[in-house]
Amino acid sequence: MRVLRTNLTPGMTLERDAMDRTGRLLIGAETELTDRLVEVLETAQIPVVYVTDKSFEEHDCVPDLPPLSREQQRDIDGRFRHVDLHGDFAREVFGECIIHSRERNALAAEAKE
Amino acid sequence: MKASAEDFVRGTPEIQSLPQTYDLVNKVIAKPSSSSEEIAKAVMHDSGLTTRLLRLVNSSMFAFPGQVDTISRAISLVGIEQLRDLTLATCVIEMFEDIEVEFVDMQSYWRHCLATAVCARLLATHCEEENVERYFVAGLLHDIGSIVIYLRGGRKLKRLAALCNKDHEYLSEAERSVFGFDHADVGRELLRQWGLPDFLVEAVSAHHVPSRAKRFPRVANIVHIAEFLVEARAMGSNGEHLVAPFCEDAWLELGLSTDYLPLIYQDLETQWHTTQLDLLGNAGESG
Repeated sequence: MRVLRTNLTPGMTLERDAMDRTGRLLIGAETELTDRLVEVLETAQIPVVYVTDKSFEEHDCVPDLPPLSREQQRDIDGRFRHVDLHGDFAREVFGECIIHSRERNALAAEAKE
Repeated sequence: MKASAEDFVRGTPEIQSLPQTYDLVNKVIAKPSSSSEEIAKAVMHDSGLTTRLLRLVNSSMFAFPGQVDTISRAISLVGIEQLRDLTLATCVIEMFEDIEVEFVDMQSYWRHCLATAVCARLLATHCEEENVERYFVAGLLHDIGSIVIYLRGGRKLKRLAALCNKDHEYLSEAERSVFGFDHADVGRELLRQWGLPDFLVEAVSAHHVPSRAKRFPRVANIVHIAEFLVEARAMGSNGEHLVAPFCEDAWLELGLSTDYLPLIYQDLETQWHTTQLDLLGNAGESG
């Protein structure tokens, strides 16, 4: 199955060869990933690889983040005023922007402590 | 009589032609008999270009193992066509480096264009397109018409600012109300004037309405999505303070899963920050 680079973990086994963008072989098929090999894929910025592990399922990580202030929510709503949010992708990007702002709030709160 | 997009381009002498270095590199590359050494020599004719190109090729965008310290090595790693595209990108940034306009902060303008360029390249990589550097250039140039409008717009720019800031119109719509055309139309005319390939002309011309692209819909879709992602995160600005209307079909036609979104944003943030320093120098350090 196809897995995003950011979801790779040591112990997974490659189903196909992982190549870099110039076509150079990085890691051969049937290799079990180690911490070091995950790092190699990270460094080469390989977007996706194929792994054999059927048990692996991608989970959406919903972090516990501080909410947006009214002002922040108004700002995001205002900036998206011309975007039709009935479309799946547009809605996804809108939601991602809210999570991003909440992450920034969490970082700012951490920095204050 | 109202001026057209073409008149705006003709009336701006400082941007009539691309820098000679690009012409020189382009001519050498166009000659089938040219060797990599001859191409490298043409690039190295301009030391500023050489430095920026090497910084770019050594950036996280390429992630080559080890340092690339010569243009010949860069050519062997990225390819000749790709080097031409990166030369064009670098020359255009250099050409507009000293231009100042009132309507927009030029540093913010270039940060916006660079983010769109990096994002277009990432999307093209995920879609396994050939020569992803062409997408990088298309992203970098997509709003080039804005600069011409800010240079030539004169007193009408006040009305444009009022429509955007007070009436919350999005930039293209406001430009059409004020001038009768928008920055995509002006960009198209400028790229034609420069004699750039139709691939780029259509990408720039159709980046707000990708369905208008007849010959190269893929690049128009990719630049449209890239700008949407960049505006959503407010990564720099070409004078637009809102997120422009988005055409959902552009995403559907690409055939990517929305699962890619966090990965694209993660790579975009990293590559955007490093390429700002590599290509924009000090201009990229703020914000």
